[in-house]
This record gives sequence, C-alpha cells and structure tokens, in this order.
Amino acid sequence: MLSADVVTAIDDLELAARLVVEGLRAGSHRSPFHGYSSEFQQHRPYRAGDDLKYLDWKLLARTDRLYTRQFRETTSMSVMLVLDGSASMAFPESGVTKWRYATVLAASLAHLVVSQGDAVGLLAITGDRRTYLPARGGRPHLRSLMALMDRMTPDGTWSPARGIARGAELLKRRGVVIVLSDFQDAEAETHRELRRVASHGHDVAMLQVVAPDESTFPYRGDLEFEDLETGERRLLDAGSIATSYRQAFDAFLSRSRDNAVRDRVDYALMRTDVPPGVALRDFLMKRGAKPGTHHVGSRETR
Amino acid sequence: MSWLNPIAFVGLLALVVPILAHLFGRRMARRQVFPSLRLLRDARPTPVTRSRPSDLLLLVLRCAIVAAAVAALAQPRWSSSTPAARVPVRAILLDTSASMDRLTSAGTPARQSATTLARALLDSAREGMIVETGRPGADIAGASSWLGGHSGLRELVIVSDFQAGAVADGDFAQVSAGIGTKLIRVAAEGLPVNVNPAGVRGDPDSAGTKATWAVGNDTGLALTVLVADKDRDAARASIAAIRAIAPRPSRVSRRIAVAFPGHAARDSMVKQATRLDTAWQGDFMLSLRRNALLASSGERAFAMPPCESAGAPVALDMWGQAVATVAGAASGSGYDAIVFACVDVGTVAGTALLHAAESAITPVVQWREMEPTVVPDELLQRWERPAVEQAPHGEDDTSPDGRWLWLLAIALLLLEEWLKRRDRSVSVLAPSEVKRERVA
Repeated sequence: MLSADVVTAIDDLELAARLVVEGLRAGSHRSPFHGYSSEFQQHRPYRAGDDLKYLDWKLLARTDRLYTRQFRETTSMSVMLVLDGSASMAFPESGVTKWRYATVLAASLAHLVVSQGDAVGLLAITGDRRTYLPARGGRPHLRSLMALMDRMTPDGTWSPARGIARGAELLKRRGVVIVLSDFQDAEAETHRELRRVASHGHDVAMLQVVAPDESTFPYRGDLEFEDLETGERRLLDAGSIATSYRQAFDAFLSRSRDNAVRDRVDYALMRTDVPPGVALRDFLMKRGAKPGTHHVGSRETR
Repeated sequence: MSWLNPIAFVGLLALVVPILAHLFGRRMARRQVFPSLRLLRDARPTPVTRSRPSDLLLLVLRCAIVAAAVAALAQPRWSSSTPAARVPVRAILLDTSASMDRLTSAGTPARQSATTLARALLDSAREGMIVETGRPGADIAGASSWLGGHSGLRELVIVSDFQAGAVADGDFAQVSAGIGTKLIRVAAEGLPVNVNPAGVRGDPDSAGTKATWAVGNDTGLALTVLVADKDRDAARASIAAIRAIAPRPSRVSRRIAVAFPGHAARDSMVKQATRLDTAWQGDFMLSLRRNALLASSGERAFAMPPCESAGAPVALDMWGQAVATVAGAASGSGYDAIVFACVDVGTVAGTALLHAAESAITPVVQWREMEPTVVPDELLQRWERPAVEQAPHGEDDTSPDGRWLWLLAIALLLLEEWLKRRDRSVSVLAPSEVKRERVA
C-alpha cells in the first residue's frame, strides 16, 4: 500500500485514485456500496470463491449440484460527495494538507463507485463558491469530476447548510451522502444537518480528516496562532496550553464520533499520515460489515 | 584598580541590545497558522508578558557577557600603589628650534615661556629631566626608554609650539604602554624677534619735528633717495628705520626717485617733470595718498620748505597742505617717476614719505602667509594619554588582568548557549514523545 505522502504527492488525481482503488481491490472483492433493487436473472454453476450467500440451497437439495444465483441490477446507486473546501483544510502549510488528502479520498471513492456502474456527484464549497456536479456514471464524468477537484483551492469558511443539506437535496432521490471535512466549524449545526439528511432516508457517512499536528500539538514557545479561516491571531505560550488543547481536541473527536453513532451516520477518522488506501479500506470494510445497509452483490459473485 | 583604555566603557551601551531583545522578543513570536482557534480559545491561555525564570537568567547572562567583554577591552589593572608612586616621573622635551624665538602674546619669546613651564613641571615631578632639543620627535624614543626604567606614574611631556613636522604619529608609537604623554603648546605670535635685529628706532624730539635714529645694518631700499649732501646721515637713518618696518621688496621693476628739498638736481628735475600718464603711475600715487602714516605726519608748526607745483599732490596733511607731489620723469633721466618731497628728509614726515613710497612700489606680503604651519590641536589631543601606574616590581606593562575577563566572557557565552539548547530541546518534542506524553 502506498504511503500518504506518496499518494498525495501524485499530481494526477485520477492516477492517485486508481492506485488507491487498485490497492483496495487487491484485498477485497466485495463492494461496500449497495444499490436498492436487483432482479434474479439466471443460475450458473458454482465456482470456488463464490459467496455462499448466493448459493441456491433449494436447487442443491433437489439436484445435489451447486448453483449460484445471479441478479440483474435494476437501479443504480447515487453517491454524492460533499467536500469541505474551507481554508482550514489547507493545513498544514507544508506536507500533506487535509485538502489534498480529502480530494484523493473523494477521487478514490468516485473511482470505486463509477467502476461499479453507479453514479457519483460532487458538491464542494470553497469560500463563496459552490461547485456542483450532478451524480452520473461513466469514465468521462469521472474525469471531469476529478478535473474539477484538481482546480479548486481551499478558501473561506464551511457552511453545513450550504454543503450537507444542499448536497442531499441535489441527490433528488435516496442515495449515499459522504461528507469529507475536518468538521472544525459549526459543530452543532453540522450534526443537526447530518441527522436531518439521515432521517430523510439517505445513507450518510462523515469522513473527518485530521492532520497529525492538530491532534499532537507539537508546538512550544511563544507562537502567534493564526486562524486559517477568519485570520484571527492569538499570541500564546504553546507549551503551557498543549495539554489542555489536546484534551479539548480529543473531546471534540469523541463528540463527533458519538453524535455520528447516535444519528446513524457512518463515521471514520482519516488521519493524513495514514495511507489513503488503508484508511479507505478500513472505512469500507466497516461499512460492509454494518447491518442494515443496502446491498447489491458484487459483479464477481453474482 | 585602574583602566588602561577607559574609553572602551562606551561599549556598555551595548547592554541595551539584550534588554530590548528580552522586552520585545516575546512580542515578535513566530507565526503559526492553525485550522481553527476555537479549541485554542477554550484552552487556558498564558499571558505573553509573563517572564520565565530561564528568560531572566538568559538576560542576566547576556548582560554579563557584554559587561565582561567591555571590561576586558578597557584593560584593567589591579595593582595597588603607594601615594608617592602617584607623583609622576617626567621626561620633558623642550623645543628649542628657531620658531621658538617668536614672541608669545605676553611679549616674551616662546622659548622663555617654555623653559619656565618646563621647570615648573620638573619641580612638581617625583623625578625627571629636561631635554632641550631642536627636534622633539626624534628624542621621544630616548625619553621613553629613560622613563621605562622607572616605576609608578610616568609622563612624557613635550613643550613646543608644535610646528608642522616637530612630532609625528610614528614618534609616539615608540612610547611604551603605561607611559602617559602630555603635549603643551607654547603659542608664539607676531614677528620673530630677529626681524628687527638692530633695534632701529626713531626717537622724535620733544616738539615731534626731528628724530634721532638708531641705524640698522641693512639700508637697502628699492627707492632712490635724492638729498642734499648735508642730509646724508639723516637720510641713512630714515632708510634704516624704513627697512625695519616696511616689507622687503622681492622684485621691483619701476625706478622711483624721492627728491628732497636741497638736492642739487631737484630744480632741473622739476622743470623736466611730466604729467602722470600711465596706469601704474596713477596706482602709485593713489597708494601714496592712502598711506595712513603719511597722512598723519603734518608739521604745521614749522615753515614748510617750498614745494614745487610739479606733478600731482599727494598725502595732504591735516592742514590741507601737500606733503609731496608725484610726477613723471623726463626721458633719459633714469627714473620712471619722481616724488618731490615738500618736507625735509630727517623729519618724521620725511621718513613717513619714504616709507609710503617704499610700500607703494613693493608688493604687500600678508603676515598670515609668513605664519608657520602648526600641528592642529585635535591631533595633539589624540596623541595625549594618561599615565598608568607601573608596578614597582617591574611587571610588563601589558597586564594579563584583562585576559581573565575574556575567559569569563567565553565561559558565560558557553553557559548561555547551553541554556538555549536546553530550552530548545524542551520546546520541540518529537511526535513519538508527544504520544508518550499523551499516554502518560
């Protein structure tokens, strides 16, 4: 698995996403995203490795032969990627920024969804600008989605209403809404919007992107901290506040996770020093194991 | 305790640097961007004006480093001495060059004042000597060497008018450290005494009409003085007097004659006289008229000798009567112009006329140009330095006391560096250390 530094350093977002997704496929054969409806099409002889879930037991009892049931997908799934492009995502100044990491994650997810034949859309908020691409399938659409993300730079502040709520509205029908953000601002409003979207029947996931320096706070001495979003400055003795800051940050992460669990929202903490492939695999495996999600059998096992 | 180079204490001003850095350094904290100050706002802030003990220690250390370095530069001497050793030994170089014969403002020759001063300095010294020399700079090394054999305070004194070249920078380089130098200028002013060597003097009689002259040894004039035979002695005396007070002619191209009453050829010269018709003759006449001495030398109380009407009258006396007339000479007479005096040669007015005529044909030399060039006072001040006590046991003048201060400064510098490194190692924790800290 390629490291976070290597993957995010690749200029071509499409290539980076493909590398991540290929890494994922090497370890898993099942899609974590599942459509809503499928129709039985035919039987075929069982092959080693087929999921036993699709084995036709009745036919086995009658004929004493192993047959796997195959389905035809009737409804494709729509995934809306809501990307936080606020200025705080430009942290840290050097190394892997949260923004770059989030775009690689989003591109990988989009790649994964499109390769399954599903539709993916994008809604990114960068400052006053809102970039929207409706959910569609196909390679050309995937390429234009990645090109859009490549052109954006973090700016301004994050608005949950403009991002999460609008993203779900634009999906038009029930689908999967994946929000990639650091969730630093408007904490209460963000969770309210996530809860509301989930209650409307959408499958909601929040990927909280965190830089290592945010959690470890390795600063000492007198520093003038500048808020990336508001420009506010504060002169602080970093050493003396480090412990209390870390406690506050841990509490913030716990709140985010607890609220997500309470609101039936998938939660994943994405640290930018973890390879995107590993982080995505963990997230997708967790989703796959989660009961109650809509399933569509993978093309391989059908 | 004394200091060889106390001017170095100006360096203490550098103490301002660490103090200002300490006061304002915290305000110039490094900028660090952060995603959001929300959680930092919740964290307990620390006032930035608070001074950490380590900061204060660093400040004290840095100030001490500067102070130690400055003290080392000032070259301290720790040796103590008896009161007797504080009376200096003096070597006095007394300038006896020719320029010292000039008069001071007190009217005495500079050499005399210098000698008096030198003796007074010698009297106030514990021990000393006066060296009379025409070249003080050349004898500095010898005097310094003599002083080097003594202990306690030692002083090299030069009494001179400090004409340019009397002393130079290189001369003082030979003076050993610790020996003070004092340069005393004896200011000479006015004319050298020997300009008037014969003491030529004109003593008017009680009526102020006739003068008795003490004749000098140089009677050469640019003028031709035409007098009656009986007036020769008086003329010689007048000429000598003029020689003493009028500038010596450098080169005179005009031939001027002053014809006094009684000269045998005067009548014929009057008849042959011509009008003033060249520019230089006009200048000459005007110069005569402007002569202050001539204008104030009327002798109204006595009958004036007949004064011919030839030529232009010059120098009207206080009664409006001409003292002389000026006319051009006949060609072939050997003169370019003739001054016909209306006064006798032996009189004050006659002498004044001769002086005026001599001055009028002589380029005036400014006294200023004749003044010697002297070493400027600023340079003398630079060469001067105070005496420093020499240990009686004959230690080397370059005391090692300052070296201990340099060592102290270096030690403090190392301590300061160690403190800084310690602070830095505490302030920058590796991520793994942070994790360990969090686990703990």
